Amino acid sequence: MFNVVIVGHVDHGKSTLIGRLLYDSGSVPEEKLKEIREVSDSLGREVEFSYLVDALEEERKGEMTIETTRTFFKSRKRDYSIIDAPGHLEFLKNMITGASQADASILIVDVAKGVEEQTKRHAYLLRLLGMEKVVVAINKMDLVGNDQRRFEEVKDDISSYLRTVGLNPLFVIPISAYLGDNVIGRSESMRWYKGPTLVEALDSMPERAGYPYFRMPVQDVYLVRGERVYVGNVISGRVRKGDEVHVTGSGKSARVEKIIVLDGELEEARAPKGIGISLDPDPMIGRGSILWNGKGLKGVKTIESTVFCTEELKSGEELEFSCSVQEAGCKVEVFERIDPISLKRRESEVLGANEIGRIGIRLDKEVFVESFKELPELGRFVLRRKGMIVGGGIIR
Amino acid sequence: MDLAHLESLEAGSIYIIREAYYKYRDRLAALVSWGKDSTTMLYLIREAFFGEVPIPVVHIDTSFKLKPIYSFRDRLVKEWNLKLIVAKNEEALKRGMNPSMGRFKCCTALKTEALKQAIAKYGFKALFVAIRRDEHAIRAKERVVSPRDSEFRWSITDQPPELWDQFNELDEEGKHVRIHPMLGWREIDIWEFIKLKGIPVNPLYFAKKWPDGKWRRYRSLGCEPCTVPIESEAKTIDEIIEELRSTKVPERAGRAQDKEMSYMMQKLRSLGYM
Amino acid sequence: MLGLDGLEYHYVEEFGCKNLMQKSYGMTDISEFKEPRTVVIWSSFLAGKNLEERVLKEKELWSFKLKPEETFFSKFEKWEALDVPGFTYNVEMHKRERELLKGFFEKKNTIEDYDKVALEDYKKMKEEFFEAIGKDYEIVMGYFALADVIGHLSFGVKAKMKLIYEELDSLAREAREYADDMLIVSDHGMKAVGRFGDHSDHGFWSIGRELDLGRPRITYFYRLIEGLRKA
Repeated sequence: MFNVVIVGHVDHGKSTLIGRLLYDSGSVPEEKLKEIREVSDSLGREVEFSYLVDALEEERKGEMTIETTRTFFKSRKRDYSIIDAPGHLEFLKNMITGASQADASILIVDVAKGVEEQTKRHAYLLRLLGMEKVVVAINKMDLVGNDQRRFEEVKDDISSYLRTVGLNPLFVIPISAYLGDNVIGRSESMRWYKGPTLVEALDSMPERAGYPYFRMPVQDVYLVRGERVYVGNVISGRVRKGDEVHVTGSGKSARVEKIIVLDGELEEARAPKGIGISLDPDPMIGRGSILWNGKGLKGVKTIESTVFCTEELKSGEELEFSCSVQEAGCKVEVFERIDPISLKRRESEVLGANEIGRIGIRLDKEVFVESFKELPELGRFVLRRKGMIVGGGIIR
Repeated sequence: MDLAHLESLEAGSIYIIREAYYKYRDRLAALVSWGKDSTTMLYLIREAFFGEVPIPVVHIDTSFKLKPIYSFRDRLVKEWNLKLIVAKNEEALKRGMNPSMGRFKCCTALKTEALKQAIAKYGFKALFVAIRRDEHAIRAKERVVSPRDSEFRWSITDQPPELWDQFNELDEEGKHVRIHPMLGWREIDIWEFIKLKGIPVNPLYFAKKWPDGKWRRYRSLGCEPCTVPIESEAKTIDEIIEELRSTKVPERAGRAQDKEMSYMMQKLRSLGYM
Repeated sequence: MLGLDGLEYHYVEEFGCKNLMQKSYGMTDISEFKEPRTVVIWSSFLAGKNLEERVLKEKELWSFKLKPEETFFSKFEKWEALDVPGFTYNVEMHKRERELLKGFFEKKNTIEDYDKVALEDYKKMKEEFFEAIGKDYEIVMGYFALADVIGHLSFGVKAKMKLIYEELDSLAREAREYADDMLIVSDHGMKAVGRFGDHSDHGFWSIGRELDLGRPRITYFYRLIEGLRKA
């Protein structure tokens, strides 16, 4: 299963693209289509694909895509789950939620309208979420007569923006979601385009590469048949019975006595797997420690990062910090605000809701991190206020 | 079968279950219907706690459930040593509430009200619920951790963000959270996992020959008067998986649409159309 | 004049039906009626007063018929009213639609069977309508049940409703070419119940000139139409 989020400015064609992907991949129930097609034949009118997604829904809440919804389709290569992220500024929380669950993303741009505000904002957020697999779909090519020159103009525009924020799109593809050109099938009317279709581009993306070293953040300690067992998910690498593992923050090491699962014991566990481990000698640790071996982790007490926030943040404020199962109190210092549209930076002590900025985070205890690129689970963090997530970022 | 896909779903669910248990401990319960999804969820809970189910298991019993659901429940409670809480709206049942009084009304009284009573009585702050995103569109909009107020309202437009594997924590008076450890699973994933692990399932899921000579099976389980079996000849888990690979009809479509149909019939009659 | 049964204000806007919106448009207030019943609202529209009580006394709702002198048509010399409920309604034709509606709930026929008849009836009425507006009437009112009829079983299926609204929008565009002025009115709108459609609590109006009517009651149009006559 490969999760793909579709982002971009409102009305640039996200729903139409989803409708088209579902339709061309044969994922729309036949009976739903039949009744719509009969009306369209009788009236001699074309069905609009953006409403096909609605046709699959039983309930609607207003006129816009208000949440991150999911639909599934299959290509020749694999199963996809499409996350539709709303294009409206006021639904940014939902866009971020959707994008944070995705393996890859499609940034959609209307070729007639060009790069607009939310195109840029969404692209910037993809960058802040650590998304690297980005395909740009330049949509509505039929509206500009499949003009290559116009395509190149918009392509240059968006590419230069993306380069500035540090994103490298893997492909920039001219499509017409409305007509289905270059979505799954190749377009007859854009012979000048020699690259892959949108789905070919998605199919060419590799699955996430595993990180070789063993890491297991300890979620909790359970007493299992009188024995203290550390539970958590192996998020990378593998662990074997008898291995020596280390515990972050304590300088302690111990031998893996047992690897416990429902059916008994395992000789070995590989990521991703939720297990229990008993250690000898018992290091007497608790939630938040990370069991590891191989390359050591970096301990930090301060983090400087560009973050997005969904609620206002002020310099000097005390918040809660989480990175994987590591939790700490922290004090934030806001340095500057970044306008994702103009890319202007302005010194500021406050970040407003839905804003982006560079901040410093002073933690009240040491946490252990990796770079997002190497091990995302330990390279990303959120900030909370009274338990509720108000912002986040990654560690580069 | 895509084993890597199932393993990552499994690990993800176990992670969520353990996170929730860490945060809510004895104020946490599992809401189950004894269908394939909640049975799978109970299995995942057993995996998370090495065979034990340390939290109460709440069954909202409308008393109209399909009969084999009760025998299946009793079997699992015994085999898995479950702390069962049966929540019934006795008062409404005494009043004679039943599906013929209108399905919306009946569901509200016997499901929603019964759950409210149970939450109040036991002081639960968090409930595991085995819903999946692919069930229908509105559920596609759910988050893993989803706050509800005392009226069970869910604000679809104003949910806090949920990032990666970080979930919101909520501890407000009068509110509880629904926790959905299986949100990302699809119907077919459930069946493949059931097959992989040998999880027991209710025999109602397998096709039987009906008196009219047609083969039918239940695709989702609910109350007897309101649950309709589908025509199917799938008699084994393998055949169900095969059937799901070739079908595009949503699982709950039948049930939800039946409700709306009876409502529309009433409305159209009162407007003079029928 | 176009009487478009069940035309929903929100869909007109969402689907961008410019010809239905004309220069001025808005919702009507039909809260004075106990239920948004088709015959009741159209009769009240024609007579310029609330006829709910009187219409409901009728045994067979759909057979209720006003006399011409009770309607605003009596103010005109040459007029035509095609298939208007409560007045010149083609009871037999619509009976077939309602039988298929019932048949759907009784699982005797499919939605496609029902839609097919609704579309046939619509096309027939459209022909009659364009024939009439080609003649030298002072006022012609065409009534089209399409949005309501299809809407009852499919209002929640947007891809389908969009096709219906586009069709009605082009009907309005063509009709406008024949007339000095055009009033479009719906008795009520609709709201989705799953895939189905229930009547909503407001109707729709639009007119081809700058006019701020706010949210008028359906009976208001009697005087407006009378005024048009004088002008």
